[in-house]
Amino acid sequence: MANLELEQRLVEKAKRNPQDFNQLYELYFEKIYNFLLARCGQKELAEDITSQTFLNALEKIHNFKWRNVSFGAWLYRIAINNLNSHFRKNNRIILTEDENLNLLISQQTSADSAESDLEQRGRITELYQTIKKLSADEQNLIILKYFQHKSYQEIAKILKLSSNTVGVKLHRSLRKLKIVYHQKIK
Amino acid sequence: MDFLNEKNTEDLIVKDLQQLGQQLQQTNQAFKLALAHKLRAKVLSQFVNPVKKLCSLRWAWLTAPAALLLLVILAEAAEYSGLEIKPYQYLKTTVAPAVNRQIKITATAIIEEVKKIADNALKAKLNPATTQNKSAIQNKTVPNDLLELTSVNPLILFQPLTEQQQQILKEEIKSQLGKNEQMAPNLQPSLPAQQQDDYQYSLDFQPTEPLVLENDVADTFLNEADKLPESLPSADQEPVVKKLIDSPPTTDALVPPLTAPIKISYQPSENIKLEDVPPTTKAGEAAGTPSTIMTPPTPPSQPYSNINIPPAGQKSAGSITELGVAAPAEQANGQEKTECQNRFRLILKINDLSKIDDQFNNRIDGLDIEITEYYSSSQNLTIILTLPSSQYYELKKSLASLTARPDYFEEEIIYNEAKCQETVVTIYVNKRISFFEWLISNFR
Repeated sequence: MANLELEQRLVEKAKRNPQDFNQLYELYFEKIYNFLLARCGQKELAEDITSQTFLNALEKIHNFKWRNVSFGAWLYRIAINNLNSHFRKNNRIILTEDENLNLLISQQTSADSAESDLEQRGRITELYQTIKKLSADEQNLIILKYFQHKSYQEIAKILKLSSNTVGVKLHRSLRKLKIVYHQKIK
Repeated sequence: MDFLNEKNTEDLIVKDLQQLGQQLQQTNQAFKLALAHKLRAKVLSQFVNPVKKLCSLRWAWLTAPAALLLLVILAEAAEYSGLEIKPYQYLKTTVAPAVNRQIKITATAIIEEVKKIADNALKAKLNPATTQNKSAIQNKTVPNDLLELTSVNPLILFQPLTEQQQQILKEEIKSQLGKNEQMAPNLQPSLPAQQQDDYQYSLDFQPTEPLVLENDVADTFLNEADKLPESLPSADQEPVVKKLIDSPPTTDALVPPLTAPIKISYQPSENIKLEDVPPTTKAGEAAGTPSTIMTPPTPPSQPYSNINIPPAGQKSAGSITELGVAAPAEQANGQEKTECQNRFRLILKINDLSKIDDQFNNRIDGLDIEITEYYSSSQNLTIILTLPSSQYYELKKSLASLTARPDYFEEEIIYNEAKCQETVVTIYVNKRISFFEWLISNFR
């Protein structure tokens, strides 16, 4: 609640003086960038979409009205819309993402933990590839829930769904993921 | 592969998902800074000059005049078909002419100023000494013994009068005033117009022009005027000379100015007989309305013998107006050299009189034109005005330049004798309200 109040204050400040948008940028950059990186799996594309998202937000912040949706949720929506329109324009041609992501994961795991073994790395890579085979909405749900650690309410606001629907859809997505993942492992 | 039973699989997937999420949490500081810089640049570029922003709205500049034009066309069409759009009519008849007038006045003032500046520059080139002197006047360092007032051409040099010259001038003024006393019983109009002008000059001259008439001279004028003998009529209240000024002294005075026409009201004396009045208009007779025609009286054979001057101290309410009547009479005596008080009957042809009638009745009092007759029939409204030619032509000129002008005029001279014309002017009015608005606003 305190975060929301702070966010609201920052938004009002940014509306009055666009130079204060910097504070909101600091607050949300990591989240948006990581969400987009997880969604698209390409560093460059994630950067492009992040850049576009924040520029759009800066341009339209005077139109933003604090109703049921927080500024964060609004920002996620912009990011999702930009990503969707990018995919639509580029006809979903994503060729090198697997390699790209594998490299990312391998760098990360080797750096973070010494006990990481080949099997775990292989399992995680498999899991990510399985996620990428789900639909865009299912991917959004899983990434927001398990990567970004958002609550059902927050996800509901970002994706314009009810909390119950989010729960149901997430359960289904997970079951689907499990089946595909199980088949892959087999 | 025991762990692949259902429960274990789910737990494992969730665990792996969380681990994957952790591994994908990356910090990209370089990109973060670059984007922050980009955003800052964007913020700065958002503060554009509002004027520039306004000018950049090309579509607005293009569409706004087009839309305005379209609206005007629609309003005109509606008005033509008989629909009255009051705000538009108000804009057209009141606001637009007022703005036009203001623009004209401003333009004239600017042109005059420019001319003045150009003249001054030219004069400065031709005579640098004058310019120096002028600047000295502006700086209030005028030498007392010499003062130059520059007019356009030629250069007039004013010098203070010597004692002797002042004496001569005083005597001249005294003698003139003495003459005036003698002429008082025969009254002023017998003075030649030029002489009246001289008096007017001298009176207007005294209080306002101390620079030109140095020191005592102005005082002398004042004193002499104050010392008028008591035998002069109303000299204590109103100087005789002033009266003379009020009375129209020249032939031009017969033509009253358009903006302030003279209302003639007179008490008929014995010798000014109504039989001598020229025949009245036929329209008035035909309508059978009571005639209120005010025609200038025919000049008597001896113009001023009938006018009684009230005794001194007794203020006559009609004294000035009597003079006002007497002056045209005097002028009418020599009709060859004067302009006749022509009569113009203005007949306004209107399609639908019913709406107009009330409006016109209500507002007719606001007009300063001498309306001699006013009556209406089923299809037209006749207003008979007695206008001098000059005023009529002014009216006609103004009507022609009017946006809501009458459709056309018809003029017919029905009476022409000794340069006195009686003309019937039929005006066909289509845009009636606008026309009346204009008529009233111009002759108020």
